[in-house]
Amino acid sequence: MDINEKYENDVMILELKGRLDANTSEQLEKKLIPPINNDKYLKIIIDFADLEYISSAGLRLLLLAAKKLDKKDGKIVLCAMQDFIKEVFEISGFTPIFPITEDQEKALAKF
Amino acid sequence: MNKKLILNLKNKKSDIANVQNKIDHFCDKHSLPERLKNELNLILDELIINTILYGYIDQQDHNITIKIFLSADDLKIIYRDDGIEFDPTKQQEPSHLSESASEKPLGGLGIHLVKNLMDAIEYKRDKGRNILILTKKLENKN
Repeated sequence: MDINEKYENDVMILELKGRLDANTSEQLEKKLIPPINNDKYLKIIIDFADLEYISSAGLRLLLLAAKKLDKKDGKIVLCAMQDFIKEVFEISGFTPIFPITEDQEKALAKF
Repeated sequence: MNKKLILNLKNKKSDIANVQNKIDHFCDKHSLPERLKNELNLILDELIINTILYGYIDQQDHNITIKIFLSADDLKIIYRDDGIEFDPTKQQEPSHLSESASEKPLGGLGIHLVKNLMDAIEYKRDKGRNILILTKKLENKN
């Protein structure tokens, strides 16, 4: 999986490309969790435009990030999901938990 | 026509990519919809990962066998491993209805996905092996 990092003021944006599964979730964990733990970035956008596949390992990581951010009054917004990713989110009951937007611009507007 | 796929793999994360290639090929060969291909890959991914992470206490190689049968009406998967006895149909499912991150449980997500993507799941324990029979009804295009 490729991860592109961007920053807009105090918002960290991670653009994912490829698959987020048990093999690749560690990659994302290294970029996503330390800035939260260190209070460095508590406003985060994950852009799914180029992500084709997600499994429970990826969902668990996103949920972990959301739990941590909740405690710190932070926020995570997800955007640009492809149909299959949306389906997995719906089936796993994740849709009510995260703000989800069509694109990065709308995601930034959520902060 | 007998449409089936038999996969033999070890309890290693590195074997999953090969499974995915074979599933992609099987689905393309039988013109199955993209969505079904993705769902099938996800189901097997979750089952295999659970076996790898929780199925064994030794560090040895173990075998996993997956047989897939495709008919006009449904897709049947028979999944077998020789791991610790584990019946996913009997697992107390944590509630996944909660709407906030703090309440939502971190565990049980893989099994929850498998249960929701399949129409029927049957479990048997036989000669030291876990056997799961999963059935998914197919939507007929006509």
